Amino acid sequence: MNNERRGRYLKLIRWYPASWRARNGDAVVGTLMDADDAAGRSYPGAADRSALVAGALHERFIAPERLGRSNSAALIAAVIFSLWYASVITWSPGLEYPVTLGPFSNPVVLASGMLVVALVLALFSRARAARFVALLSVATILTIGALSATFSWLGPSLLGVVIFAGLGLIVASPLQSRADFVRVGAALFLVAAGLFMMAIFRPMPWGYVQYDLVGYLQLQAAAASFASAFVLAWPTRRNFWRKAVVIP
Amino acid sequence: MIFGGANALAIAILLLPEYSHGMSTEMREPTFWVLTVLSGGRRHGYALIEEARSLSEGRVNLKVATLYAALDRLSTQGWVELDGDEVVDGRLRRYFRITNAGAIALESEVSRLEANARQARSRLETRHVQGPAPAQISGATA
Repeated sequence: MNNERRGRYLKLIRWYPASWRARNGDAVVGTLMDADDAAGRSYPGAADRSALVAGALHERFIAPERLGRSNSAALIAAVIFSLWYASVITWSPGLEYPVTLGPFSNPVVLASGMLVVALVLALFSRARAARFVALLSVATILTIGALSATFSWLGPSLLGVVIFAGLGLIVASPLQSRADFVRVGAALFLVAAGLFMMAIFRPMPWGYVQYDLVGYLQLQAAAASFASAFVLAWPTRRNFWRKAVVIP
Repeated sequence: MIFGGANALAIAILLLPEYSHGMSTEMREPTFWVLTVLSGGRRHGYALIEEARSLSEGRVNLKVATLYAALDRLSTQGWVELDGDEVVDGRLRRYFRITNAGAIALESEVSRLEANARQARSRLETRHVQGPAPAQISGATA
């Protein structure tokens, strides 16, 4: 009898995510049964049942993976910039060139696409996936920027790469403390420094690097800057799974 | 030049007011009552609901779903923590207690409410001394 009643109560919380049920299910069922016993009921009333459905929808679609306000603002800015960049700067349907990608003059549109995907994921409350895709867009734009600087493509400008990478890093990093801001700020500085070394002190063409010690050292320093920026900006395990700040 | 501009942009973005923390926010009523009840000691779910209703003179009737959503959120914030499970008549009773951070947050909210109440009381007393303001004659037509 008791098991049968408990089974009916467990059905009420079936819409919650499995992890939430594993964490809170027994305590919630116990509290519901206590409340109903005190009220002389054998089953929760309509108001309690509705609250459970609303709570389950909230837990499943809204609460678990929201991007913070700063991440969301950066993502929206990044997507607007990406769309403008793709449609105004790189849209060149008639251009014949080795590194064009469809109607676009260079592959930066790949990073733009990733940022749009990140926005869609964020809209569907998939914040962790959105952060990860934003981080991939940073890797993509840095790779394109570095290859462009090395092989003299019609690639993205230095400022364009810095804006893409900077906004992407802000999206990917949970900015919840002063230390987070310092980390992301330092990562942005390192990205800028790496690009500076790649573009301003342009190394010799790739085939001559082995004969050019200065160029080789510049490449190494730029690579070290990018790698350090990634280490700084890569969300730690704790940060990556941390929920957004919730206003009490 | 370019780097100066780019870094200035990045710094400007990072310094936007919305990125700053520590902005005071009004506490929601369920949060306020959960913390208030737990200030009296550890409680399990049903005891929390009953005591919140009693202390608020019947105004706050927490639903079980609302209570556990609030407790989850407060645990994440470090304002509340688990204080053990007990099984009574085959039912799990999960106990919660307030943390020091939770007590500080509640203290801050209480101070805010007291300051608001003082201001309102002061204005009302002034109004009693001066007498009610004469009714405004409105020339507006329907």
